[in-house]
Amino acid sequence: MTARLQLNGTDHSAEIIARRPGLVLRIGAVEYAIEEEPATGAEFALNINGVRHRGWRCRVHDTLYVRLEGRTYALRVPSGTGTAEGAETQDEVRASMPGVVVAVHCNAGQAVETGDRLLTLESMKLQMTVVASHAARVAAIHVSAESTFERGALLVSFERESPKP
Amino acid sequence: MLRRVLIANRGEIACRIIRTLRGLGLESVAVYHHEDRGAPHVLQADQAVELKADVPTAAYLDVAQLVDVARTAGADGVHPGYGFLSENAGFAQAVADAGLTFVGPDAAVIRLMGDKIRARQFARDHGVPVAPSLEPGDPAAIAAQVRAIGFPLLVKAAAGGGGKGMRIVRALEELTQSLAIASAEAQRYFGDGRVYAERYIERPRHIEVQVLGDGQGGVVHLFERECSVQRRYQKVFEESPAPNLPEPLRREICAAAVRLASAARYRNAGTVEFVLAPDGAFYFLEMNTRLQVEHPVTELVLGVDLVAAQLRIAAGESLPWQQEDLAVRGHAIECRICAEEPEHDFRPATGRVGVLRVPAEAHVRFDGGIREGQAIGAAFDSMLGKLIVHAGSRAEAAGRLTQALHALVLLGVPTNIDYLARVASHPRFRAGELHTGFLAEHADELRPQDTPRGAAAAVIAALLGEPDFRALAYGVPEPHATIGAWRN
Repeated sequence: MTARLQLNGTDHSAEIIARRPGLVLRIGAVEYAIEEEPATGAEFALNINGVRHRGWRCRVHDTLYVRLEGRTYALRVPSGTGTAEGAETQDEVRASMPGVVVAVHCNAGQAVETGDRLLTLESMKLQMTVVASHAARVAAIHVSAESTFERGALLVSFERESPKP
Repeated sequence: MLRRVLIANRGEIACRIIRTLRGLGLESVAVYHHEDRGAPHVLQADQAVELKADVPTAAYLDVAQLVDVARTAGADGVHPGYGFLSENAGFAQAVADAGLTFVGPDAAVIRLMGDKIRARQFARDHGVPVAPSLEPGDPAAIAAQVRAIGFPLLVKAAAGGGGKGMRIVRALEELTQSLAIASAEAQRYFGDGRVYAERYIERPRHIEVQVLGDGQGGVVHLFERECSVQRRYQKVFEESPAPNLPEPLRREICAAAVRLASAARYRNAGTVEFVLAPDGAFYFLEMNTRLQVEHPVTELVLGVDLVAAQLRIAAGESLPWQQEDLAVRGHAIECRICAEEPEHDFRPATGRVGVLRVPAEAHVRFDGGIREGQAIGAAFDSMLGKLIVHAGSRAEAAGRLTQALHALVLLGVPTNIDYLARVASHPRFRAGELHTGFLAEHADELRPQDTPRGAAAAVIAALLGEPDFRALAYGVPEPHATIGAWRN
């Protein structure tokens, strides 16, 4: 599972290598062991390969701003690639690779908030949780537990927002 | 003294003026365009009135509406801040005609200094040096004058200022055409096509003198500021005193500024700007008849409140200080925090203030007009605020400024903060080797240095702030927690 961000036009891919006992990400060719301290609002502290980093972060539109060691980084979320594996638009979640549905966490008609779990999938031996990228109401779930799907398959659709008067 | 003052401005300068009004026990009336609703100056003022205008900047330029609002709100004074209508003689006159006090000079003085050709004649007539210059005329006369002055020349508009419409000319063949083009441009921008050309000083420094006049010919100077570090003719760093300025030259420049302001029977705080050549010759540039963006560095080294002085003088009081009362203590440096991208030719940027943390040390001053949650649009100037430090020496001030810039957190919109920190720690800046081409000359050294480790830490921190990534990283059911990642 990889997540992509752009920094000054350069793509940076972060791959989840391990979750237990601690989170390990690989960026470029380097693995980073990460321990987080509880964040308070926009302020955070984390240890990366034993080095403590304190900073601030916030997201505005598609840009993640991070202040670290007196530097500000503006990281862009590339359009069309969420950090979840589904290729998402505002109205639906599609699979970016073939896999199996492990569990369904939402129901049709349910209102979900950003970050709410929708599905647990297993693809290429990795389980991952699909979360809502925005607040919405679930229109339909197009898969069920144990069902398989192909790349590009429609997994969840949301109700279209009614246009504001 | 005045009782209730309308501030015909917005952003940090409106907040700055409100602070002094409050300190003096005076009431403040803010004005705002719909786009600025909820802005700090609106929240901080005792009273706030919305201005109707389709275009946001037009609201703050609407003379009739502003005077009307001032009257209706029961204000007895109007402070224009800087920019907008601060140097508009028509506004000063309209305020006076409405029976209100304009916190600034008379309309006639604004008009005199606003006309760059008349102002430099006035300066020359009063013994203030001006750069040799020529005005458009018949080609033979121009050729003769050029022989006397020499190249390069700088073509400027009579109604210009702030670098607008300026062009450098290095050969006679270009001159006639440049004057014609500049004149056409000036006509379009300012409705006044008069232009002139003066000797262009290579590697010039921008030195300006803060003055304060009572309108009766009484004038004190509040020493000089160095504002040489500029981009696109816009100041970025300002400091006082000017570094590496010989004491006799400092005295001479300050005396020239007092001579000019005194001759104009200047009332209000004002700034006389000079170009300083590498050989020590200095020439009158222009006089700004208003409070300057960079006034805080003067306030810090002298321990004064210039806005309070403006208000007292406007109310008819005499000058608050004699020249001998004023002595510089230490050194102050200011830099302008802008929503812009220095790596892309300083283009203005937009966003939203997501996080704002200002260093709290006693020697640091932040004059801002923003708050968390505020949208930063393209409707107004890109300056968000100013960071100013004070210290015993220039070296110490530059160190403190670098630290303060590192400690300042302003996220949610691209800013020049990190760029400013690189400038403040540049060895040539630290040495005080300044001229107006400083930023262009050192552009390569001022580019950001990305380290792979720093970028990786930023990527990790950014991803861990995202709920959906956190769910991926931590939200996996226990039995599957140790399954390895898929590989391509």
